[in-house]
Amino acid sequence: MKKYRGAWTTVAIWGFLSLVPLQDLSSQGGSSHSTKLTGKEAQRFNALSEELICQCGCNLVLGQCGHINCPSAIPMRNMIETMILGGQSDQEVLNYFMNEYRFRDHPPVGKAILSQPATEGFDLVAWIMPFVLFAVSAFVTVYLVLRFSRRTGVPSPVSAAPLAEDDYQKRIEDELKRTE
Amino acid sequence: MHIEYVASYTNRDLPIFYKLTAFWAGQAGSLLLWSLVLSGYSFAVTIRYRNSHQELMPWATVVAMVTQVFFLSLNLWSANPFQELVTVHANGALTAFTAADGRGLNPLLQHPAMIIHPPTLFMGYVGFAIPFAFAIAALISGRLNDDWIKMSRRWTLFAWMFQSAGIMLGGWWAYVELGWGGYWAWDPVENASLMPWITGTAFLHSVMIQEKKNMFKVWNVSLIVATYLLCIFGTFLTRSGVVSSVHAFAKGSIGKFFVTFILLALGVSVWLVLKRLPQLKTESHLDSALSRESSFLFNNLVLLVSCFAVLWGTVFPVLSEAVTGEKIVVGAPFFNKVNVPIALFLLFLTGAGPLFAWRKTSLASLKKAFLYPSVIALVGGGLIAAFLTRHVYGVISFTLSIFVGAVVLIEFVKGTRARMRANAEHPTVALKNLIWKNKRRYGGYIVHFAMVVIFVGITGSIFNFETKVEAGIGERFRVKDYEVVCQNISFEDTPNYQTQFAVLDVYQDADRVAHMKPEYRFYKASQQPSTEVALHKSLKEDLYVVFAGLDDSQRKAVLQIYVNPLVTWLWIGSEILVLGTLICLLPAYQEDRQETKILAKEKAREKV
Repeated sequence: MKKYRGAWTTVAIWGFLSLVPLQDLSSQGGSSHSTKLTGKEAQRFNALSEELICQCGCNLVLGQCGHINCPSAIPMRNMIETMILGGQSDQEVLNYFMNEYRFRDHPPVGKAILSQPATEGFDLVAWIMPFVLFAVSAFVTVYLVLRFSRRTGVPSPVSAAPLAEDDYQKRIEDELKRTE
Repeated sequence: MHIEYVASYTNRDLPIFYKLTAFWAGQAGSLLLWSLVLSGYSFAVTIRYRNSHQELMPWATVVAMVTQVFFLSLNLWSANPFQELVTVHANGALTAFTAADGRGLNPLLQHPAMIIHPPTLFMGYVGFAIPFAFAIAALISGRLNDDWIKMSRRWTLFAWMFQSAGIMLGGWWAYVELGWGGYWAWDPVENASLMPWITGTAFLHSVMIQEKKNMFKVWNVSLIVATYLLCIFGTFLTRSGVVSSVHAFAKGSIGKFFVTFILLALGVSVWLVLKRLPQLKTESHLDSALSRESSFLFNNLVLLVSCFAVLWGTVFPVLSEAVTGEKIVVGAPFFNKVNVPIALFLLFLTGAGPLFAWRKTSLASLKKAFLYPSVIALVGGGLIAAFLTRHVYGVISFTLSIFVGAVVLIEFVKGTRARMRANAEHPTVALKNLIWKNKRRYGGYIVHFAMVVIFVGITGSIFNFETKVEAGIGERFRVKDYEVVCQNISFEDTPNYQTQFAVLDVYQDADRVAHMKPEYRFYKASQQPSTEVALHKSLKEDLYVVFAGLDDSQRKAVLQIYVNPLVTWLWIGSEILVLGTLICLLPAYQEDRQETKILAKEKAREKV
């Protein structure tokens, strides 16, 4: 075995080195489309850009619309920047866009300018359902596992036709257990 | 040109590759591609089983052909790709005419990824129709033994591999072509491709329980039916326009065809399952709650919840509009908030599942199996939290990735060492033989490792950085670690498009590392603009430059610049995933038993 120790050391060193490029990422941070905004304002700008949907038809959040000279994204971004610099709160910015776009489309855009459902009224169902399903199915799975594993009196056949690979793997595992 | 489809999606100056790939640029062509791929699959299946499975094959062929008839009907009655160009006269009479040139292909589709992405994805979508055909054939014929499962596994894996590759190619196309710096936007079209992939993944895991223990037959049939229906539903979502607005559904006839077919397929499948329920009942039981079988059940649970979350978010706007009358959007923030915790739990199971033994695992052996990977992951996670990031999901994702990576690595090391000891093989030979003689198991581990690499790539997005720069010729600017010099801003005219571009030299530590040419193109035939992103890729990060146009003075290039860490890991992970799946797909090594005997003999000798 000694003659292969060098090979394992090489593998370990390469494994460690592959993590090295990760180390100096810590200096990287958030971003902003705006040059006038700094610090917290830029963070608010980015967060609000994620809260709104661009109205050019791309169906992307405002921060993601990459259309050249987009007739929707550019004025929307400018307006967010103006409102942030004007001292308005995030909710005031969102309310402005909901009112501004309410009558521009049919059916009315209104809440459709927001990138995610609200956490009130019927929209709350959107948020709740996945977690309700998760809870219910987790309960059912635990129940099934316990129920199936408590059954007695019926033998547990392996497969009708066991796979050659399983047999091989079982033996490898037996070998490993014996050597550990 | 006298065919409407040809005139709509091509033009004479379009390069020949794109003329051919314009085949699937529109709705009618995409539906025809479905039929074409399904014909290929049906042909391959018929040839493969021409001398076997005589009870299943006739029914399987019928089921595949029913799907074929459905898609050909759509082409005949709703989206005919051979429709001629016609002029409608005032009296209602129609006259055929020939157009001098076509309107050209959408510039976004004029990209190499679009040559292979749609056929690859369709190989996945359509491929799932084959295991579905086997399942329904088994239900109709009453031959519910292991036959259909064994026939289905490889075809499902084959389709799953293409679906995975198709999804990733779609992500790559979005990344390099759409110019917003990302690869996944939770668009309904993307979601439609992800859903059957998730249920297909669940099926590939749970099918092993039926193979080994003859359990969960109803569950497996249900999963493959769900996968097939989600493929059809995905095509319906993307083709009917129902997601953009519930009103779009009523406008075209294609949505009604889809809904009718989906309901019929669902009804027949449920009726057949109910009819065969007595034969599908499980006769055996789980030996222990702590077993590989149980872990697969939890894996299925999480996968299905994840699939539901995607489906729910995708169709919720339709539901909300129908209930409240007000249109809403469910965008990326919703999907990220709901799916990220689920995906992280799934990542944990990717590592934890293989640590459980089949049938029964004692707590002691479980503790032992978890010990090393957990210690490595906690140390790695601690270092990441201390030196790299405090982003909660980021730290959890990196920690779990290290955990799963360690599990896979330890499995390979243990197996390789066993072979080295038993056969005195060189490590590389032992590793090769380990994989080669148990392709299904170690191919699966490679796929799990690929998921780790993909997760690392995705998690890199927490470090994304973007900025906008205006630069004239000769100007120099800094973006993170890069020094960029704008060498030129110029214009070019080609038969297909006009292009305006910047020529940039990128330096790092005084060394020139890239020569970039981001473009702003204007396609003549379609009269549409498009960006050609310039990319400098590395394992650490991508420098991603978009030429957004000229400033007001017309002398400076406006550049949108992104620094996206670890994106390359995503593409490498995808390649590893395909490799692992290919290994699983290879035929099992026939001399396994003989090899095992040799191993055991060698071990016995070593002990003495």
